[in-house]
Amino acid sequence: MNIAFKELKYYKFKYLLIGLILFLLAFLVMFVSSLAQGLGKDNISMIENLNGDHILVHEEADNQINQSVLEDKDTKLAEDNGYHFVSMKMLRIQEASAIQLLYSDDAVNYLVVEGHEPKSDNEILLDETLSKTYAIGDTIQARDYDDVAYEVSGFVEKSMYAHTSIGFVTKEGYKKVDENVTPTFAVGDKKIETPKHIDRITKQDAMNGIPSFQAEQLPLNLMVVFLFVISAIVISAFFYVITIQKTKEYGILKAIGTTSGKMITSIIVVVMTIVILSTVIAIGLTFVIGQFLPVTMPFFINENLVLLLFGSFVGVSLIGALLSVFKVIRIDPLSAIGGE
Amino acid sequence: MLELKNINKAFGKDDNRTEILEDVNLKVRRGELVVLYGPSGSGKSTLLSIIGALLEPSAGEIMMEDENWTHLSNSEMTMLRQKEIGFIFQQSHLLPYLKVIDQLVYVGTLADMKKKEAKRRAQNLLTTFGLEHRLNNYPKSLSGGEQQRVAIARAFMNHPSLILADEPTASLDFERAIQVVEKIQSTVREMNTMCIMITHDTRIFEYADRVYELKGGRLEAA
Repeated sequence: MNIAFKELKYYKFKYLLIGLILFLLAFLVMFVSSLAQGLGKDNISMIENLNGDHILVHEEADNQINQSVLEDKDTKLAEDNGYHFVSMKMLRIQEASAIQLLYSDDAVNYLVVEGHEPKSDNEILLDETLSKTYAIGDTIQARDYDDVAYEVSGFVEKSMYAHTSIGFVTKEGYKKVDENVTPTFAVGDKKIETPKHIDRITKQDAMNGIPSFQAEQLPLNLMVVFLFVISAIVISAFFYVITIQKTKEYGILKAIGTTSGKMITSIIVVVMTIVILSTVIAIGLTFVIGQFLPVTMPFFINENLVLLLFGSFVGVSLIGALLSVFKVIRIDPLSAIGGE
Repeated sequence: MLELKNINKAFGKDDNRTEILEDVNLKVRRGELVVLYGPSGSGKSTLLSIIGALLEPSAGEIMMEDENWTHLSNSEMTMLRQKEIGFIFQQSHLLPYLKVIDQLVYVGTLADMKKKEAKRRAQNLLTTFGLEHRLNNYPKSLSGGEQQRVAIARAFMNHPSLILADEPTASLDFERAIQVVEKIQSTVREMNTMCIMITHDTRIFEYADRVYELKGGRLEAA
């Protein structure tokens, strides 16, 4: 233990460089995965906030919940089983391109971060990404309906569907664009049997139903996986080369009676110190950057994912260090004596 | 007393088999300094490795006092190197990342010496070797002679029964070489241990109690 830290101190420049590279790799991993999470949130945060685990959609919607329409005969079944309805309609607006106008009675949770909930048919509550374009009290004008306009009453935290902000309105407010307030889909907790033309899907199905979701997540997650593979190779290569450089030192250690166990412990302590320090700093920096990024930037730090990434880094480094450990066990102390 | 009985060592198998050592017999008593010399390839270092629990002989026995050092497991060999044997190499082979005092303290703690006790003993030994002003230096800032003296002090650290020295003076000029050998000799006597030294320097022979020549794998008194 002791000897590992003395070694770290003595070769500080060499280990600092390795730590720096690991830090950059870890930071890149954290940043890209937070970006993937953020882009994901832009797609699915409204689904995550649904108040129930089961969603009833029309079969023809193909799991794209905003494309669904529930007819009168279907709503009865849903209502009887405690399902809540959501009415959702894409509304093209001036300035920003479009929002998803949404009305529901208690089917979608949201957290107001600024302002208040819509109280009259005139008010609308927007996702915070639009707080750059609009301020509370501003009017947003629909492009397709001359007489439809809402006044911004406040902003909510992360409520988006397919990269489009949700605009929460009252039932009366929704009537401005759809007199009947047609239910688009229903949300509930009961696992009910549905008629053939209605699908009961999970939140995950609904997320995967968004065409852009998997298209974005797959390449980003692939990048993260590749970064891990690169990190594993870099760590293994570095420590392998360093071990070969130090063959003589390990030979001396063996000759003066250091057990293999002690040498392996010392290697692992060195590797772990560097890896843990660099990843913790990388995580810290990711959090700091997350604080300063504007809300419009799709960036979301998932604590569980960060823990998973941290664990993977430590695991990958241990595997990388094992290569050196095998090498050290096989070192012949005779080579240190340099005899015949 | 250390006793080697009919030590044989061969490398390779069948047609490629080469006999390095043949029927080597040697006795060393406590307080004695024994010198071995011989042409390169005569098996000197192999013999030293066998005595030093780094290699196992193909045949023969090594007895140390009443203990048999011949057929030991890897961990038993490690224990022997830790506690019973002190190595001095041609180069000092110090660990670059340890300060002079820590070079010795580390060896002491390996053999379960208490840190405080190890520190005191290291300090005493290094003072004996005239290095009291170098305790907190790294090896790279020491001269070749000083480095070698640290290595020798390290070899004596754990009260070893046996000091094995493989050309300890080869990298030193004559004056330094004599100082180092005198120091080894006096410490061996003082601590009542044994020392087997390989050297080519005939001027060092006069410090030895006995001198042997290793020739074609056989040991002959010179």
